[in-house]
This record gives sequence, C-alpha cells and structure tokens, in this order.
Amino acid sequence: MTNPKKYPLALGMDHPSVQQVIQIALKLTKENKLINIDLLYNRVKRELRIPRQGLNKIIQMLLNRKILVDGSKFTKETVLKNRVRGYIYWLTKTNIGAHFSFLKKKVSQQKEHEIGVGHLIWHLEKLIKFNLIKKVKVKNCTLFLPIEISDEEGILYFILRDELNRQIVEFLLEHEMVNKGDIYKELNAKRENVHYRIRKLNEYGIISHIKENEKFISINSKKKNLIEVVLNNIFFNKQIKEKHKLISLKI
Amino acid sequence: MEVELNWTIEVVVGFFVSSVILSVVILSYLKLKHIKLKSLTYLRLSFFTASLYFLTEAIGDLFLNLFIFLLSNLILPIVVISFLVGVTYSRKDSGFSITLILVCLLVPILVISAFMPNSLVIIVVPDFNYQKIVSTGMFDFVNILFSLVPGVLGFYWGILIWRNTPFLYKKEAFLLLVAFTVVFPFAIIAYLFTLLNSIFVILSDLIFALGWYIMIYAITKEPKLLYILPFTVNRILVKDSNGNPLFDNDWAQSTVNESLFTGFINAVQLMSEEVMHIGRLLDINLQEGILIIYNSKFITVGLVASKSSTLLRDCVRNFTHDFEEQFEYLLRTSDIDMKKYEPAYALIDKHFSNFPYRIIPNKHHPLLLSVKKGKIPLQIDDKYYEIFKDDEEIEEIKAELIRFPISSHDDFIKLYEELKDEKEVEFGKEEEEEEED
Repeated sequence: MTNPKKYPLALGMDHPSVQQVIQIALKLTKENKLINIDLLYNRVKRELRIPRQGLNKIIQMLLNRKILVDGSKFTKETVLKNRVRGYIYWLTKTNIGAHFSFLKKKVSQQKEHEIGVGHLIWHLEKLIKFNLIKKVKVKNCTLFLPIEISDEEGILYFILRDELNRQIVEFLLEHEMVNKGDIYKELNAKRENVHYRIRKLNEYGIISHIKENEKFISINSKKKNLIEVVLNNIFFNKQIKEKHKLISLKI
Repeated sequence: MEVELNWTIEVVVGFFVSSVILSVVILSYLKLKHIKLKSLTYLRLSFFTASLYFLTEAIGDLFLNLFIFLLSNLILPIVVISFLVGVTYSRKDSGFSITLILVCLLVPILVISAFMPNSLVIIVVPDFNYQKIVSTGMFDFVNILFSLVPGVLGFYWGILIWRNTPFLYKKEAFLLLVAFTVVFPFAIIAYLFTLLNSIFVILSDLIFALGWYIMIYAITKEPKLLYILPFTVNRILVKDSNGNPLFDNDWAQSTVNESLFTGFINAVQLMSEEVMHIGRLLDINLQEGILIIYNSKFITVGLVASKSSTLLRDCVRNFTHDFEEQFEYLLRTSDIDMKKYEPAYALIDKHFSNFPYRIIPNKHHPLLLSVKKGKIPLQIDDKYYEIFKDDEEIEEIKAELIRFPISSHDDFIKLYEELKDEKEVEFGKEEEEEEED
C-alpha cells in the first residue's frame, strides 16, 4: 500500500482549512453569488486567518480535484473544452456520416471516455445547440454531421461507409450501364446481398433504373459529381487512417 | 610597518551592501534548499560574486590597494555572466544566448584595459575630501558596459515575467518587477552620475543592494516565477498497463487534441514490449506542443507541455518511479479505482512544484462549486437520476447545466427519448433481419 511516512500527504481534503474554504464557497453559492477567486480571497481573509499563499495552495488543490470548476457560460469555443464532448465532435468530423450507434460504440471503446448513453446524448445535444453538428434522420437511423456538411452529402457518406455499397457504386461509375443481375458475379459477392443493396441505393436515389430496360441500372447522373467527391474523400480518409496506424506501429 | 586605513563612507557602504547581499543569498539557500533549479543556482552564484565584488572593492578602498581593487573589477564579468545564464535558463531552459557571447567577447577587452597604464587611479573626492580608487578611460567604459547589461536585461526579463505570470503569482511577479525597476533604471542612472561626481557611487550601491534584496525575496517567496517563461506544463496522465486511467492532473488547459494524447499513450502501450522498452522516455513532437511518454513496469505516464526539456523529462521519470513505489500494491492487484490514487497529488507537489498553475485565467473568472448541492429544479433532478448511471456523472451534468447560456433541458430529454432505443444500423444486419422476416 502507500507509505505515508515516506511521502507525507499533500494538503488533503480532510484538512480543516480546506473544509473551511469549501464551506465559505458553499455559503457564497447559497447567497446566490457567483464565486470567483477574488470574492473567495476576500471572504476567506475576513473569516479565516489563512495566509495568501496557503489559500493559493488550497484553491489550486480544489481546482485540481475538480471541487471548484470553471463556471463561465459556455460559448461555441469553450463548449469543446470538455474532453468527452471534444472527442465526440472529433468523431463526427473524422467519420462523416456517423450514426448514433456508431458513436455509442466508439465512445464505449475509449477507456478515458467511458460514459453512458444518456451522457453521450447530453453531449450531442450540446453540440447541436452550439451549431457545431446537426442531426439528420435516415429512416430509423440518426446521423450526426458536422454543420458544414449538407444533408445530401452526409447521407451519401453514411451509405458509402458500407464496403459493398461502395463497391457497387464504384463499379457503376466505371461501367456506365450495367445489368444488375451481373454485378454480384463481377464483385464476387453474394447475390442476395448485392440485390438488397441495389434496392437500397435505388431508394436513396444514388442509382436509377434505365427506363427502356428495367434490368439495367446506372449512377444517378444528378448525383454523380457529389458521389465522386464523397468516394474520393472516403478513400483519402482511409489512407490517412492507415498512415496513422503505421506511424503508431513504428513508434 | 603601520598601515593607515582609509575608512570612508564608501568603504562602510561597500561592506554593508556586501553583507546584505551575502545574507540574502544564504537565506535563499536555506529556504529553498529542496529546490534544485539551474536558473536559481546561477542567480545565486551571481549574487554571491556580487557580494564578493562589493567586499573586495571596499577592501581595496580601505587599504587604497590598487591590486585588490583591480581584483574586484575582474570579478564583475563572473557576476554578469552567471546572472545572464540564470536569466536565460529561466527564459528558455538553456543557458546559451547571443548576449552571453557578446558579454564573453567583452571579457578580454576588460582584462586588457585593466592592465593598461592608469586604468586605476587614486583620487580625492571633491567637496568630501577623502581618497578613493576609481577606474578611468577604457577600463571605466567597459566597467559601465558590464553594469548596464544585467540591468537592462533584468528589467526586460522582469517585464516578461510579470506579463506572463498567472494571476495567482502576480503579486510576487510585481515585486520582482519592482526589484528590477530599482536596479534599472534607478541604480544604473545613479551609477552614471558617478561620471560627474564619484560620491554618487554610494547612492548607486545602496539602490543596487535594495533591488537585489527585493529580487531574492520575490524569488524565494515564489520560485515558480523562474518557470513562467521557459515552457507551459499542461497535463499529466497515468495509465496502467491495460490502458486504464489511474491519475490525471492539469496545470493548464491542454492544446493537444484529447484523442491524439490518449491515442499516442495507447499506441506506446501496445508497442511497449517490442519497441518501447521499459524505462524508456519518448518525446513526441506535436504541432501544439510536446508529449513526453515514459513507460515503466506497471504504468505509462504521459505529460503534455509546450516544449520538451531535460528538467521535464527528469521530473516525469522521478514521478513515475515514486508513483510505482508508492502504489505498488494497488498496481500489482490491478486496482483501477482512481480515488485510491489521489495521494499522488503529493507526488505532484514533490516533483512538479516549480511549475505554475494556469487553469483559471484571472481572479474574476466565475467558478462553480462541484458538490452535491447544485441548484436545479427537483423534477429535472429526478429525471436525471433516471437517465444517468452514477452520482459522479450526475454531478458533472449538473455543473454543466448551470453553465449553458440557455436552459436546454427539454431539448435534451426530447433527444434522449428519440435516441435511447435506437438500434445499431448496419446494412448487412438490416438485410439479415429482413430475410428472417
């Protein structure tokens, strides 16, 4: 266990002066006064006889142990100073098209940010409130997108995050018009999986059937440019993530 | 042979100034015995040699001995160089500077000019009618230069420290600035008046002594002043070998991205056995600062600072060893309750006591008391107890709730109701479910 003789305890929470300072802070809160160091100094000086440096030490300790916390109103900048909230925002920025369950999974994987569902929703709501992210509903799924990403682009990211969806779309970009019955062979994937996804991609307006022949499909020409941009970004992001992995492996 | 002693007011003042400086040096040594700072060591050396300078000068005048007086003038470069190195250490954690080179280049000129004919002469002070030794010509000019350098530099240093000091130590920083203002311009101006009448040296010496006394007093009272400028220490995080956080301490708001910080520590832990051997320190340069990671048998310690230094690395290494030693039992039993590691704050006091806290920007910055008496309406309180897992989480949320400019309770509850049961959506799974249907 710890060896108190060798390491004498620093000013601890049980110290009478520390307790007295907390009581004064509590009294100020009850008087509906906004606490600040200046006010605390003056009140402690008046009521207790603690030298300035000793009080400095106590205040530092209370700040350190999060007994006294920053009380300024949040702004768009300071709202991200909360470590977990900053991390969630970063997740939405680096995983565009991330849906709620993805964020839940990612946050639960982080030992430093082990929080419950309620806590995650709390932070997401604050990010929405400060116009840093937005919420987009895609059927039964809720996406959280950085504010600068359009809904259409965000939904595309969400759909193209799926590997098979991406393969189908890339294949269709290479071959303008394709018989949908042949795609699964070309991609070496299960027929029913490919068919299911083609149906979904059609529902989302990413691909369309050729009017003359319903068996043939192609990329929706109106969305072609945007799809290419999103695919490129996904590709680059993947490369960056792999590079990061390599760097950490080298370390 | 009987030696006639030249007891004059200047000699008395010289002895007085010398003993004042020597006594404050000794006092500072006794008071800050436990603090080992290079800057402080050099400053002490400077003050100690300054005391010798005044002593030998007074003895030289007392015996009207040119050789002893010359010796005192040759001590001056040591005073200036050690002061320069001390100040530079407290600015950038290194003793090297361009000014140091320039001052070193002046030393041979001083020595040569000291041995030039008539570099020192005995004069009779006009109006007061007593004898004293003075430097003349080139030697006098170089002497003035040597006196000006620490004055100007110290004044600039004092302003820099005062401007950058967090409000917690502002009073001591102001005191330091006052000390430098006393030395420069006041003492230096008085010294320059000696060109008109050498009696002004008494005034100059007394002002110097006062300035140095205040300087040592301020530094002794708050040694953190010496670590305001070289770097900012932001945060230290201790993790066990499984990646669980055990101890976390902030000095200043960290500019390093949280994910990057923890990500690097995790990566180092994963690689620890193959690449990062136990007991190895790793510096990772990031755009926003430096991450020092130390890997030991049971724990990995990460420290974020604005830049790396040998001192910081030593602090991390010593902190890690003490942490392992103090909590060996808890670490062996893989206890991850962070509360049990709270006594480690004593180790922070022990190893990082020189680094200032900068979390709260000013004394008027609003603070909240994070205890279980947060004032929020009862029905909200009840609802939050349903939603959040534990008391700690609720306390955190309550503290945050007060800080939001617009109450967002209803929006939060609405979003919570909307999302709480949302299922995992993956195209593959959705498809399987559909097939099952």
